[in-house]
Amino acid sequence: MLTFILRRVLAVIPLVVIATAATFFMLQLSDVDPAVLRLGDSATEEQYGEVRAELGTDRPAVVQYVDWLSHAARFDFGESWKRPVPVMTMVHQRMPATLSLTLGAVLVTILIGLPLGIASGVRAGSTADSVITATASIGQAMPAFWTGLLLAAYVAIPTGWFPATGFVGPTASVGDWARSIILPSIALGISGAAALARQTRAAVAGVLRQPYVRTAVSVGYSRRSILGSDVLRNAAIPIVTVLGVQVSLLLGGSLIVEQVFVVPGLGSLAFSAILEKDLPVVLAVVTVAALLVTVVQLALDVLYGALDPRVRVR
Amino acid sequence: MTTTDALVALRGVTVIFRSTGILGSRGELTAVRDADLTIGAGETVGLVGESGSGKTTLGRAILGLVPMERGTIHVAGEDLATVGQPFPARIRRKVQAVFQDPLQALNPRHRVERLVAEPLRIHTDLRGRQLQARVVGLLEQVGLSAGLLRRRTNELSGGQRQRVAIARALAVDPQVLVLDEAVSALDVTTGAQIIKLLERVRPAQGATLFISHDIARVRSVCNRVAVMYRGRIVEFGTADEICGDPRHPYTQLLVASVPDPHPHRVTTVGRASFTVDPTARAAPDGCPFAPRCPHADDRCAVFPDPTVLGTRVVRCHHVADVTTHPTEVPR
Amino acid sequence: MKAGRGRRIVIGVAAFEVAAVIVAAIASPWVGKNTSPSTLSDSLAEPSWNHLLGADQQGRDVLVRIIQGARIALLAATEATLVAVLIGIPLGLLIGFRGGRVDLVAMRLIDSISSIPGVVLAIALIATLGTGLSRSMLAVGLVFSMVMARIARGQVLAERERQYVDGARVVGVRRRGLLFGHVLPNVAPALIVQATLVFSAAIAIEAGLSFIGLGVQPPTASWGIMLADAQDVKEISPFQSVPPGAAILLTVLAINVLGDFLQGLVVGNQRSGEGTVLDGVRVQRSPDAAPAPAGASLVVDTLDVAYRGRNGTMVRAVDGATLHIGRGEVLAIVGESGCGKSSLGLGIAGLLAPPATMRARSLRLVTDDGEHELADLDPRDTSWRRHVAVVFQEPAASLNPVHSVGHHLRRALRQRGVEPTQRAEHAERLLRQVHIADAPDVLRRYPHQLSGGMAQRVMIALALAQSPAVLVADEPTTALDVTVQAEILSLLRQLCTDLHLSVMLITHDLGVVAELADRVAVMYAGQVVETGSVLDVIATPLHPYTAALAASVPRNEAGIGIPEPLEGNVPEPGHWPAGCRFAPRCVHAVEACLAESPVLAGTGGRAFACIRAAEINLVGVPPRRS
Repeated sequence: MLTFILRRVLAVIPLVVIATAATFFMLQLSDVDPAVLRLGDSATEEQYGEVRAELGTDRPAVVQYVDWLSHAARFDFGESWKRPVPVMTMVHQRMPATLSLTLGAVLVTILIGLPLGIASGVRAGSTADSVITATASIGQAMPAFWTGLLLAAYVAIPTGWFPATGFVGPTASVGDWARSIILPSIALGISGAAALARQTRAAVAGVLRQPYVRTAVSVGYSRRSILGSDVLRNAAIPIVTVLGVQVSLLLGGSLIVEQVFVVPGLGSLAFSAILEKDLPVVLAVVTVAALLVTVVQLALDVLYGALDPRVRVR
Repeated sequence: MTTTDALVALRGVTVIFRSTGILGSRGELTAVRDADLTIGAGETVGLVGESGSGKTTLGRAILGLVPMERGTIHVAGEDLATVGQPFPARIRRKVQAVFQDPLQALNPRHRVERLVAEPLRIHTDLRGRQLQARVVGLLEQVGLSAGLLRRRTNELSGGQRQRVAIARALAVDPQVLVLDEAVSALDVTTGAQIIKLLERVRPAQGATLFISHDIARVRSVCNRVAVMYRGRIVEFGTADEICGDPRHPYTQLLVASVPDPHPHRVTTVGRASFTVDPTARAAPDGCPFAPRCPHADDRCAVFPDPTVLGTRVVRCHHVADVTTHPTEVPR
Repeated sequence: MKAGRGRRIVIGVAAFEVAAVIVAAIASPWVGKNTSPSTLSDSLAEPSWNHLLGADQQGRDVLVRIIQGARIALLAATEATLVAVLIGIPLGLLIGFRGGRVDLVAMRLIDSISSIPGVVLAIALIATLGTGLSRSMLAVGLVFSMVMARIARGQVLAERERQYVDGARVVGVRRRGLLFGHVLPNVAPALIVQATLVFSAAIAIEAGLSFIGLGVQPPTASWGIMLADAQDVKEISPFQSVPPGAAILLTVLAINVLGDFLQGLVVGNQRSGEGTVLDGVRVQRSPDAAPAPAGASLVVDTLDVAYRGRNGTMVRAVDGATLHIGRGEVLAIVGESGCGKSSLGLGIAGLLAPPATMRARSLRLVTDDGEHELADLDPRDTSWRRHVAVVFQEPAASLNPVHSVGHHLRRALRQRGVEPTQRAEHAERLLRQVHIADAPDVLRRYPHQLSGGMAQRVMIALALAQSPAVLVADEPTTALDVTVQAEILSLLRQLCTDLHLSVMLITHDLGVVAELADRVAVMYAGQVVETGSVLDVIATPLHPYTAALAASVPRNEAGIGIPEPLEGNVPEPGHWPAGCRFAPRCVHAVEACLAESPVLAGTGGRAFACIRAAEINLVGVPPRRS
């Protein structure tokens, strides 16, 4: 088991290298000058040269990338081009908001999607199933930022129960923190919940058709026992895969939802950095996003192994 | 039968499957090992064995569907190893096949007309009306009406599908026909219909390889029979020799295991009782059957050379001391 | 495949919606030209006759802007989809078709790039390419091309392994012909469905990117821009956010519905009203049950099983089957596939799923604790189930892949009420009973670690764990190798003798019948046409169908030659001919056979349903000569 995890962790490295290299060289194509970014366009050529030398951007692109990589391996993402601030600090400030939002959205996804999917899969073909499936189709078609806008305009503002904008850190006040992320989490999680419900329904309905369910029925187990021990236990395997995909989508979706609720997360950081072509910040966000996605993937793989003896490492 | 006048001649055919990783080969599995086999003109040779024996792979090697590691396959005087891959058209039209499950082996999106016409379009100049007429003629030959031309395979019965597959195989007058479990997936009654049909339409002067796990069926249609076990041909002789008087311990087990439809109440119970020790592994170059064989001893760590007994070849160190009566195989 | 009425309406509405969006997109340059120019006096007007959906902050008509936005949405989605399809599909086809190392390396790259969340990647691309509609959609298309490539590659890899590709190679089809003539047409439907999903996702993403300012720039009307405007006034005019969002929602939803519909055409939909085996099927009973023959474990009196046929009507698969199984007796049910054997077995074991229906005068099970009339029970009543055990053709698929062998057996023993402390030992004893030597090791194994023969032994052990009154064995050895089959048959024979098991053996193989059965019931087109002791029925049949079956079986004997086939096919349920159902295939049939349905009748345990039995001379399977 330990070697499995270790092997998977090692496999993440080339993945992150390729992802960051792709981003790095892509942004190189847009020929941006960090010196102009830092000093504006009114400085002297000499001042520009100094900044370029300081940031190391006067070197060939390949050398820059290798240099960045060797620092990144030690979690040093350098300094922002725009402001003389370490990138790590900027990422650090934005992490709580993004993590809270993503976590909240994952909870919404699971707590709403899973029960609905199970209920509809078990009674596939019934009226209840049709209603749930139709609702899920609608939920899946709702753009998260629109849901957010509606929640802000029709829930937060009229009732005043939740703030329509802003984010409060959990260290400041747990209650305010919770109130500040509930609506963004719902907005972000709804389409994930809908997708999960549909996939869960398909998985449950599929497992119900398996010969081993017939065997379990023939032995005389109760409906409850069969649903738990045979149906859900096996349906969990494809559901875990779907969850992995959803988490990646949520991380991306949080970027736009952050704009709606004015949440200072990684998304808005990435958004402004990309527009300003602040390469070190972009690379750091890409690395963090890729790492988050792969860590989630790894956790799910471990869970997968625990759920399915066929993929369990011997 | 010597190699020279055989229509199909296999010498030392070895097929190894390798799984590839990014940096090269990962695992390998020897599916067929040093197989020698001949099929004469007008002859039907049976290839029997259980799942994993390599019989299907050997058939696929003749069809050029799997790469050979070693050995030679001659078909009508041509060495398949030297003609290159994919086979040139002149080789392709000589060797045709019918597979086990026509629903899988025929493209599900193509209609009967296109399925039967496909080999004709590739190998002949027939087009338009003439092509259509030939297709209808082939369908009639296999007992199907022209009314099925516009159907897809999922709209046909199992027997009809297999007839389409046969019409397709016969379209280019092949000299060699490989029948890979061609009736195994069918009902016994439909299977009997297809066997009867094949007997009528198969190339009379051609060679037929009949791959099957069904000893009784093989005996009823084949002149000679080869028995495979875990990639090795262990016994090869006339159908009556192999099925009526087997000499290799594995063949004896196989034959003794066949249930007879007459309710004689002398059951196979006790006859087929070779036990399998799941921990036993055959020596890498030894007889693959040794772990299950009641006669096995130290000699079996090396795969034996062929012993020729009249028209039959047996590969067993113990062929002299193995009793000829399978029912008396000790438990 | 017919869709239900409700579904057809939904699909119709979706098609209408998409058509409306297309019309709006085409007509948009002419829309709004005749209306009065926007005035600030109309700013944030409520919906009225003048402004059906109200007006925005600058007094522009919202409906007009929605219609103009439709054009942007469709243009954007078309561009992104085209890019995704034109780059992704060829790429996926290429690496899938090449396979091997090319595939491994390419997939590693695609996986790495896909580990960046799509939105982040798209925005990074936009940073390189620049903002604006066509550039941002190019970026979105590139991101989706990775998804398309992955799916196309997966489809091709799966398709390449299918046997028809070998079939085509054997008749001489070349590489190019294989890819374009065979593989591509088969993967195209799935790719088209995927493309519709990309299209609908692109609509939402265009709106999202325009919303955050990376897509279309104001004052161009885009649904995303309109939402961005609405965001600014959400406190004074919340309704502003409703129309553009609804436009996105409805369009995306409609395209998804059409995509689902397409997918349904490809893979088939589940029809409404179809239940599962968990729901069970109630037996409808006629009241006049006959008394059970003495010593019977199971009595089946006039059992019908019906399924929903292709065109939606109910068709009978089993028609008036009457039979019984004595205690300790093995009754074989034989016949070609499609004769109703398996439906009969599933019906008796209570394993049918709605909408199948079952009707019987009586279906009685006699166990140690008395008689159970199954026809009286609620289908969800599981109390009797352990008395009927089943063994199926595919043993590996019949065992739950996530549970060990030991878990399976202990769970069944608990169900039977065996004390927790005894279960482990009892489970081991069961495995030894089915001749598994290394029982402790096998208890720890999972189904995928078992060979076919071993899995079937475990299935039999599981059946024994139930201590059943009747065992239904449906083709228990058909999927096994012949030497393994012999072992399993020998095991079953021994268990029948030792434990006095009552067995319903369903098989098409007369060899298996001869090895195991005491009595035989021959089925044809849903009916039992002959019953009797195994020796009588197989050696001296009285029904021409039995004789024809016997003649079809090849035997391992010298000089027998090719068996005489029975021509024709079993008629499908719902298409059974009048009179004797076998008559159209029967060489002995006369006019009278087509007119009247023969009744199963006879004496002394021997019965047959043929009006000509007395006049014709039938031959069965003779004893072996050697």
